[in-house]
Amino acid sequence: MYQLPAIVAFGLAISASLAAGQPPDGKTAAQWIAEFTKAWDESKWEKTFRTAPSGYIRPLDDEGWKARMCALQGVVGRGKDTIPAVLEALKDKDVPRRVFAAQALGYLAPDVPIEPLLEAAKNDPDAAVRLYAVDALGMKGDKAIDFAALLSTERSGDVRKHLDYAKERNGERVEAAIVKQLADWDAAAIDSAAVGKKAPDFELKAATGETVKLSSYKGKSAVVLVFIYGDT
Amino acid sequence: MRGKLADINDQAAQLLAVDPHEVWSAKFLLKETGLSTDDLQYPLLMDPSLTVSAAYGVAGQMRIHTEWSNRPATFIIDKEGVIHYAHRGTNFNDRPTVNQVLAELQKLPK
Repeated sequence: MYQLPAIVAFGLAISASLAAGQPPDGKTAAQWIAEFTKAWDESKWEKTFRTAPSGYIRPLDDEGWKARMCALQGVVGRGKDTIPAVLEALKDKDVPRRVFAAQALGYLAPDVPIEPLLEAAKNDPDAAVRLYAVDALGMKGDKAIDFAALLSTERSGDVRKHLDYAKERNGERVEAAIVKQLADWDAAAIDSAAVGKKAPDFELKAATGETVKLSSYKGKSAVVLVFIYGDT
Repeated sequence: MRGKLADINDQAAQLLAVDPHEVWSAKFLLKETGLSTDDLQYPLLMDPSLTVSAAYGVAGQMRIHTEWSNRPATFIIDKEGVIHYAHRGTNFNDRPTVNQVLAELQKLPK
């Protein structure tokens, strides 16, 4: 009987080191976040930010967005074991790292504790961090979260809009299918659309609720596919 | 775009819009103008996982409202499923005009 505590302790140590991110395969959350940080350069873009219409968009040859997307997929694909590392990044002094962390936490939201998200939504000095933290709180689907209280102190119009969207949810959590789509996505497909090539097929839910599959139009009609940023 | 929708339909083409958010922002913004999703005249497809936006090379490249949203872009896909035309915008106003889209559609084999 006196051996039992040692066996239990041994088992706990093993599972702790697994949770700390010794991957059987693939990168840890910390590695993904490091890769993103290395590739995400805001210096060129920040010089023109808001000074010209072009200042709102990263240059066409900028590839930082790919590192962001791959890191999002890597973290979300790895799942809730990444939450401790991502919560650490949410407190980092590097702003892009905090923004990335808040964005990633949205897809992990159902398993993320409320407190660090609320803290970021209320008190992070950067509006983008607060915006994504608000999104993540909404994605948790917890009716007890008081978005009206956050609205009463938030001064950024953009964050306020996202607080409105979070209230609109009325407690609806992020759909598991959305998280799965990102978790299961093969990042090799990134930026694969090109003139002369087959259009990457997809299946997405319309705002009215029905599912639309691109390849269903094959043989029937051409498609004009317009990507919008969502407030027009 | 809505005014010329009939012209696009006349070209036997289907207009699809892709928005990188969950449905709540669309519902809220439509409500603000007294509309609902029933008033949409073409499918507004939601891509909150960003995977479609990433495949088409537009995800997370524009920061007009604090968040990292999609670069505006227009693709024309022919009846065989091949991309005939692609335009990725360099600012938020940089889109082909509807007449330019119609002209491209005219070039497609019937």
